[in-house]
Amino acid sequence: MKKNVKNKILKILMFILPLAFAAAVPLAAAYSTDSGIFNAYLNLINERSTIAVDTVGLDRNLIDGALGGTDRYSYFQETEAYESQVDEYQDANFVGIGVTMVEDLKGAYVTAVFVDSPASRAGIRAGDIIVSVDGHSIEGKSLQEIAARIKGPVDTRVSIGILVNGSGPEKIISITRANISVKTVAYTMYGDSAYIRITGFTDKTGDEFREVLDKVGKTGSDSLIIDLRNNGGGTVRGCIFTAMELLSDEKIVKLEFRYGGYLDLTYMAPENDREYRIAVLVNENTASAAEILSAAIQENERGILVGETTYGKSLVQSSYRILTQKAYEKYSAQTGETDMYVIIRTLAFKGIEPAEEEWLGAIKLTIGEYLTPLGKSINNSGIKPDISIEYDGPIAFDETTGREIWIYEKYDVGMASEQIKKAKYILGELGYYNGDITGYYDEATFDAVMRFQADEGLYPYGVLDFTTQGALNNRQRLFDIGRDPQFMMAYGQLERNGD
Amino acid sequence: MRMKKTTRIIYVLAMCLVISSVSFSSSGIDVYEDYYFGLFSFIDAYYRTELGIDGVMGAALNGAMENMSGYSCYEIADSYTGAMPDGIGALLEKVRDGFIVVSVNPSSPAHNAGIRPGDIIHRIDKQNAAVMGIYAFNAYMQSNGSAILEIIDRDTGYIRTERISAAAGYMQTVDFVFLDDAGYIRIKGFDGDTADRVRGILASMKELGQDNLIIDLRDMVSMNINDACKVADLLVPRGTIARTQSGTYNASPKEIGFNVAVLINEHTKGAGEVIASAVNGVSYGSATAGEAVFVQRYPVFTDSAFLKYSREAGSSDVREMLNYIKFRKVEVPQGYVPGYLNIVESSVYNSSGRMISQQSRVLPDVPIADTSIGYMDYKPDGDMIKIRRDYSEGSINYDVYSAKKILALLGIYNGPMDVVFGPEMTTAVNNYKKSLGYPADGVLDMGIQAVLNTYAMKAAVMNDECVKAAVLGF
Repeated sequence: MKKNVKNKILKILMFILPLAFAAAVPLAAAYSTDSGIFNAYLNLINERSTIAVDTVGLDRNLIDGALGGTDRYSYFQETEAYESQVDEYQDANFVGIGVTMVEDLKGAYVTAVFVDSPASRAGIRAGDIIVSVDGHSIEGKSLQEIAARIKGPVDTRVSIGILVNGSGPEKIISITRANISVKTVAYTMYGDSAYIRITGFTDKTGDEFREVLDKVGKTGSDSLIIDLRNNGGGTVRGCIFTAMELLSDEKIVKLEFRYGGYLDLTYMAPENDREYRIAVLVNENTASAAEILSAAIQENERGILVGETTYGKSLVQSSYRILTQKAYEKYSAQTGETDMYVIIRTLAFKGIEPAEEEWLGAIKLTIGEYLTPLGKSINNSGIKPDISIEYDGPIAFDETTGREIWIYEKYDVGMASEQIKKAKYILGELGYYNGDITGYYDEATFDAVMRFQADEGLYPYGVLDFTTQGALNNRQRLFDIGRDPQFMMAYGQLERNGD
Repeated sequence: MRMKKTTRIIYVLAMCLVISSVSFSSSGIDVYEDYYFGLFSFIDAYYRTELGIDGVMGAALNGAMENMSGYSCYEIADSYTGAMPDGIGALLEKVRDGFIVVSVNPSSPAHNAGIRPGDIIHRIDKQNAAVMGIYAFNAYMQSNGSAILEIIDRDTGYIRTERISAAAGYMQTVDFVFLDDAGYIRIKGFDGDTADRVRGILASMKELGQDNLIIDLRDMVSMNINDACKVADLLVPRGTIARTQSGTYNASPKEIGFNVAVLINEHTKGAGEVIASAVNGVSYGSATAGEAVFVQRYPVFTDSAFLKYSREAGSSDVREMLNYIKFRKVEVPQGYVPGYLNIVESSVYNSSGRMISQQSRVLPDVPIADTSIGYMDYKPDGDMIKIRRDYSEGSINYDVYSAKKILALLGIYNGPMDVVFGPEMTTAVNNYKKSLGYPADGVLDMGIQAVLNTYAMKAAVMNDECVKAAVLGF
């Protein structure tokens, strides 16, 4: 099947191709036609159909249509969607309001609100449904389109229409966009083990992960529980840098491309003198880059997988910008080239940047597949865990649970806030408080906070300050962790192996 | 097989041709082909599996029809070759977003997964179905055993996901049951043989002196108007059956000699509405969907074939080329036609000359509250076998009990009536298989289960509200 493809093993230390957005390689021989077949059939449709061809949207319809024989991950992207995708994954830094969303019948369902983000300050909560942006209904729009509308230059305002808790009348909120830094790694110590939750992979995930391991190293622990549940993937680069911290002189993944212009790549971890006992938590939503990491740990026998069979997405995409027909004709004449990618590259080389309106959008295309270190394809089948155990309750650090206190204000007696209500709930679970769970900071709350501070070794003065809120959140997480059967199974296994 | 395919293509070409002269539209489309073919060849080269430049161009034509009826679409030619493999137990037709479910077979994987006529199969294991052939889909199901299907729900328009296994047993387009007081024919969809099959059933009914006929058109959304007219012609003594822009279909004059009852409901669409309005009989059920379009099919050539024929015909107009091919009786090799364009070219007018639309549905003469098909809604403890796997001696399953009940009805089994596959059952299964000319291997396989179900169907059909009313009506 494959032609002219050399396998090349690269020992990667500093150099990694940013694969998700790799520069295109020109085609050896672009197909050309002089039969007029395409126009002939377009005119046949136009003449015979009861409805004429929509000539205004024809360029987009044709390109989106041309991807009809591909898969669900390949499609035409509008320029804004392309640009926001690049920002989000490559820079881990994008300008928005700080929410994550999934598609919903009425609009976009908010699954999480980032701590200390414009959205959290404006009172948007997980469970709300965004139904309009700047007065335009978003019903039936794709998530990418919705995200592109919400995003914009820093410090500009956007008005968002929400249904509180998914129902009732639309409430309009005006929010100022800000730089949102996406943190993908969070951790806490649980007994002798470090519980490390990775929610997704950006190009910065490797750095974040290394920082966490440095901190864990100082505690003397060598036992890691890495939580990749509900981790839908992200950049291959972020995943590989993470895997390099855990493996030593071992294969991480092999990327196989169909087109000969790309070399197939096997990523290797460099030698590494740190040894860990590892358990990885996976579930049916563990996908793509998160599956690469899971398989690399499992097949190199570096650790065990606990949980559920993973999603099974092993396809690698890349996005390629495309010029409009008019811009193509113009630059083709200017450069004397016919292959669009040769043209784009030539322009870049000469320092010519096409104007914004000269880009039609981008083609996002599945260009290859990754294979596990043992050479297996997991597409559709997923990875089977070593220990199967099901669970669909709350996961610690998961902001969708809505139990974490959002730390942005201090509280004292007489104040009222939704965050106080959460603090009282946690204090109640810990046995410090047994009054009503309301948002009002009363004397009983004051006493409870003071006793909690004393026990935690904090300054006991009854004020719910940032440190105390952080400590409460940490205790809440330990509570969640203790009631998470997949975690406890993994923890038990590591304990046993440690003896 | 190859010979057969070629003849078929010529047949299809002949069907496609409209002899009227071509009028050139002044507002023709003229896109820059080098630009698009550059992008097509890029997609073809980089995408992880081979698509073929013809396939990518065909898919782009699919996109050009984005603003039109869903029945306007490009379709890869593979669904027109050879015998159709077993799919999921549903009859499918091609639409732009994938495959529309025309009808569902009882106790099939599709039925068990809650797939309904009008649902659209949109993706198969994350692969788009937009330009895939039905043959390719069925073959994929057969070789993989199961797949995750993304289905566009007919009611909400949103996508739901089902893991579904492959069906066993060839799906017929016609179900037939001899009831005590009538013959019952359910038309589930159309292939080239549907009209012949109905003709055969009518002949055997006549032989047996049964002149009460029930035609069941419920839960069937086919848009195959041509084939529907052929079936209706068997039941209509004279006059117009239907009319489209490309012509009028008149019944050949004849005697019918049947009392006909027609069963319809809100999921009787297109082809079913044509038959229901043309047939002179009493209708039972609820009003039809009121939706029909006439789809014309055109072959899409490869680039080189297109160049060849346009030079020979002296025109690059597709219809002029097709006329040239027809009149010169040019034999088109199979490889020259990688796909077809289905274009919705007109509305459909029923036997009384009214355009089939939501304003002119077929209304039942006798309205019935419950219009569900009796043997489709069989209960878990009903009389039919849920066809899921093979059974043999030692198997313990409810399906074994269901099979025993049917075999007992046929007088072949007379052992204990329980869920255990014992030696008496092995004997019965062997006797039954031998009587059908199969090897006596003692296995109650899924094919035999399907045959047994046809006997159980009779009992279930008799319990159908619409059928009961129709039988009373005779």
